[in-house]
Amino acid sequence: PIRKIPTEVLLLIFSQISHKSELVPLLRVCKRWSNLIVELLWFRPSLMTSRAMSGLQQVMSMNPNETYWNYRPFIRRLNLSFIYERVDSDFLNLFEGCYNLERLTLVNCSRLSSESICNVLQNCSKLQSIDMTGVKSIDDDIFEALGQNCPRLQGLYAPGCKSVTRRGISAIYNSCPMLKRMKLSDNLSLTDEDLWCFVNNCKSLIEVDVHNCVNLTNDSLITLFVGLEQLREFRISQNMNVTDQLFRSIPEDAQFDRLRIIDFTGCTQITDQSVERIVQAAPRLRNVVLSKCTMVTDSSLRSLARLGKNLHYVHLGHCTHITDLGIIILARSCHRLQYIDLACCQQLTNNSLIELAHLARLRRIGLVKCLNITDLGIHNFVIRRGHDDTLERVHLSYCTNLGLSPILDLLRACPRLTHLSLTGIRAFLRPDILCYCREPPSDFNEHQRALFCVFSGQGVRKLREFLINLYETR
Amino acid sequence: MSISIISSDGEPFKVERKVAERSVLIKNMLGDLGNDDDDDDESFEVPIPNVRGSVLQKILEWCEHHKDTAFPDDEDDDSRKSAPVEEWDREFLRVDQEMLYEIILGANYLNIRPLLDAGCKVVAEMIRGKTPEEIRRTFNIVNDFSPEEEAAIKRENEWAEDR
Repeated sequence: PIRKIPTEVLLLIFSQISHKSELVPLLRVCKRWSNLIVELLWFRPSLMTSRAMSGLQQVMSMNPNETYWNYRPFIRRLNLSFIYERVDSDFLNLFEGCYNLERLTLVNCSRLSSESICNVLQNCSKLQSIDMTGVKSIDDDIFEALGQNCPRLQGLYAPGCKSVTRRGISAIYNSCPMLKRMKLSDNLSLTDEDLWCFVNNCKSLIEVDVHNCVNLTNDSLITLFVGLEQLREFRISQNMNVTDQLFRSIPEDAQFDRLRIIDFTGCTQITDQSVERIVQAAPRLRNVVLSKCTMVTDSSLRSLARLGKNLHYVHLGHCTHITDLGIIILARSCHRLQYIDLACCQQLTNNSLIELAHLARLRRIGLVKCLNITDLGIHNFVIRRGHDDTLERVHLSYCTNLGLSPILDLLRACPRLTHLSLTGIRAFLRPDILCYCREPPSDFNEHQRALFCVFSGQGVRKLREFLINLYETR
Repeated sequence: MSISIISSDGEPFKVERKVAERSVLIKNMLGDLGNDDDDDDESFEVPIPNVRGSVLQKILEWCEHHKDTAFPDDEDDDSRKSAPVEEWDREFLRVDQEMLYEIILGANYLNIRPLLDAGCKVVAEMIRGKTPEEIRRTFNIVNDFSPEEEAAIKRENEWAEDR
């Protein structure tokens, strides 16, 4: 009989039943099965629909002594991001007492109060990760609750945590030594001293995002690079204190072998010297974001070219000193580039396009406001890339000289294209084309709406069909 | 070198090393011997005290058939889970329930992951889509819930049936 089958094998059998809903009937077969199934079912309650949400809400509202099981300890992962519109503090409060929680995902649950989040965190000593992206009420109390209850915390995602002060920040670095990934953007309280404490106490940090934390300076950032051997991703932006001095103070023989991603968006003090030094120290960089680093020139591109095949992603938007010569060097060395953004690099001409055409793996190209790009450039780009192009996203907004015919070439050659932006190009601002365009964002004014011209998903397909018909019937 | 595998009821099965090594348990035991020389007729006995002769014979038949098959990596959970049971295995596992369980238990003990997976998939297919009562009948399981308990469990878990 099946009762001979030991628990570990029975679980293997159940694990072959991939859909959660198919496990529900098994709960009522017998006590032995139900005690195994209930854990599988509640491990990560599936909250994809509002119906599931309402059903779960009913059960969680019952007195735990009156339900067949107390379900709270079974819940290890809770993800409310699919039902974020309906999630409020009362709903989250129902999960107080889920002391085995390992992951809590609250992305876009903007209505949650700090108090309700603190309530859920009580006694969650196994919590490994919390994602509060889009939560508006992130404050010191939440950070303190994390420090007091969650010593095993590895992931802390708290972008836009403006109101968190040293009280909250210190609770994290004093009590969460296993921290691996942290995103603390837009925080004005974060100082060099705090960052030193993170570097000293949280040696496992591999991902640090201090986007828009304007009070950090070179003094602490250098210790971050030198002190965290595991560092893999580092993002800072809009920080005027970051200067070439940061990179000059990197020791000559330092090697950041693990570093893959850097983002210095809008750190406008950075020059070519910084780029040269960071490439030397981190030869395996994969993603480099230097958009709005306005002092960067072709010399930086020569440095980046030394990353060779390692470089997959580069963002150089608004680096207005860049010319075709820089692009030639970059494109010939980094042939595995998949993503390149050159928005507003207004010196670039069709010659850059000819070089970029040879990037066989290119999936996304951004050329917004590259005014010198013309029909001939796009046409030659498409011809060189050939049919069955890998491109998925193409941004050509405000390339005002473009007309219809090279875009038809592009659409024909790129079967995987899912996004095409042509905002502000007069040739496309006509009703029979705009009818395939996406809705403009709700915060756009009338003028912006009038110029908006972006195609995505089915819109791209329809635009392709329309243009093909247009030219064939002529 | 030839391997003689001895079942729990003392029956010996002579197989070539490659076939025996489909069992990671036996492979690890033999691993310590190291010697790959097949020049002499040295015979090596492996006692398997948990599997009886008729089941061991069946399992070794599977090992023989699959001695040259390349299976996906043990660590690659996704591809192991999604792969359908291949036709030969399905036919091979068309046995009575008791034999099926014993093959699964044997594969578990001998650590033959692809056979264990195939067995589990076949049982999972017998479970899927059935009502609790149908499952009990299929597997001869006694319902040890009171009607009240069963109703409570149903009520409290219905939400999870929503796709």
